[in-house]
Amino acid sequence: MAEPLRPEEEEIALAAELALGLLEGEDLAAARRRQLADPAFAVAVERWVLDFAPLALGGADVAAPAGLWERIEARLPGEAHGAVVALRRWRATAIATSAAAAVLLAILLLRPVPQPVVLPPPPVVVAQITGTAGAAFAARYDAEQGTLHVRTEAMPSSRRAPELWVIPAGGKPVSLGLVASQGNRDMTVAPAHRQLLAEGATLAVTMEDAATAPHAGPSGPPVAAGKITIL
Amino acid sequence: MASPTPSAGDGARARLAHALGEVAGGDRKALKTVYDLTAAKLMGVCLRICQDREAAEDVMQEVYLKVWDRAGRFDASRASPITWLCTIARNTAIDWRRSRGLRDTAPVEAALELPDGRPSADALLEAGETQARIFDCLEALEEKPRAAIRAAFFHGRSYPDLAAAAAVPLGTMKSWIRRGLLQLRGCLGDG
Repeated sequence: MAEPLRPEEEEIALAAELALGLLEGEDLAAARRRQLADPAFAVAVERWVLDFAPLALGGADVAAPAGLWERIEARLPGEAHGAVVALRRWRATAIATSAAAAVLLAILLLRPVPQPVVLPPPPVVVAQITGTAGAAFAARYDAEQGTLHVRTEAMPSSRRAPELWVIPAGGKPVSLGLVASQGNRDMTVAPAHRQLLAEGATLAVTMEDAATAPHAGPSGPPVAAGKITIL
Repeated sequence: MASPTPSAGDGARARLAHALGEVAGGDRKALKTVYDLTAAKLMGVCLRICQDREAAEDVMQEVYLKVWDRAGRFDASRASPITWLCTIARNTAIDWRRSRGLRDTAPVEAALELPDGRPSADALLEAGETQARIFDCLEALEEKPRAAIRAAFFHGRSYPDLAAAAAVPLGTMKSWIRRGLLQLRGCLGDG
């Protein structure tokens, strides 16, 4: 058997294994957790995904059957009204901003039912994706307690306060309240809002006037945004 | 990533990136534009992975619905639009295979029989010409890791699955593939 890999080789190989889908079971769960918690590793996985992608282009083009577009169109959400368009734009901005400024926020929804996924020991930070600069938050939701644990890792200096929003897919932003300017805050999520913390929803942070929070809607563009991931 | 001189590929790439931006804003016509520009290519990808025309058509619907939902996440500074779309198509098709339990029982070498065509020059220009390296780099690997990596990419086969199919211990399969992956990274460069 070949000699063991060096740690940096181990990381390169693991990132490729995750990108290709070679892993199963606890190996897969551990690699996904690392992808959420370790930005450099997440970048390595993305690089592999993009490096492998052109392989798929190696086959011949095949004309899509007539009527396929109509089937897709029929499944799109209903014709958007002005407000929905504005919200999609807002979400797109939220996400684009996060990519541009590399400010991201991730949340793990811990499922109450037993999963083959072994959850990490009681964590300080369960999920975090950060980039080069700017705001960074990590969030973990305890569905049994209805408690959202939010840790502020970094934030631009501001006289205003960070307000956390959940934006359901196709829905409008709903305030979950203010998060800490630094350090941790445990937030009790109102029962009516708990179902919003689902896969595909976006969490975003905007800078708002603390005195009047929570607000009905965000007053400006987000400083951080990220998709909810369920492990 | 762009080729040194303007070309048909650059134009197509720019049109596609622009359309994705409009899809992110909720423009259904822009999604039709994305569809018209990419359906044949992605149908080829889906069919190749699903090996079943009806399934590929179902997967195609999922792919464009995902594009509708995720267009705001496309970042032109990090990926070419066709590469990004291909990734969605490949992953959706692989998910379909796995959901059907279609870890085909054919030997790993079957992955070698897939037509190993290279993308057309236009497709490569669209994807960014450096990415053609994956073909040369994969070609440079020994046969066993190459076949296994292709089987993982096109058939969604996992380590245990590949080891069983090749009738080798799991550790041996991992060792082959990991060495191959490191060699690939060395060939592709650090990006």
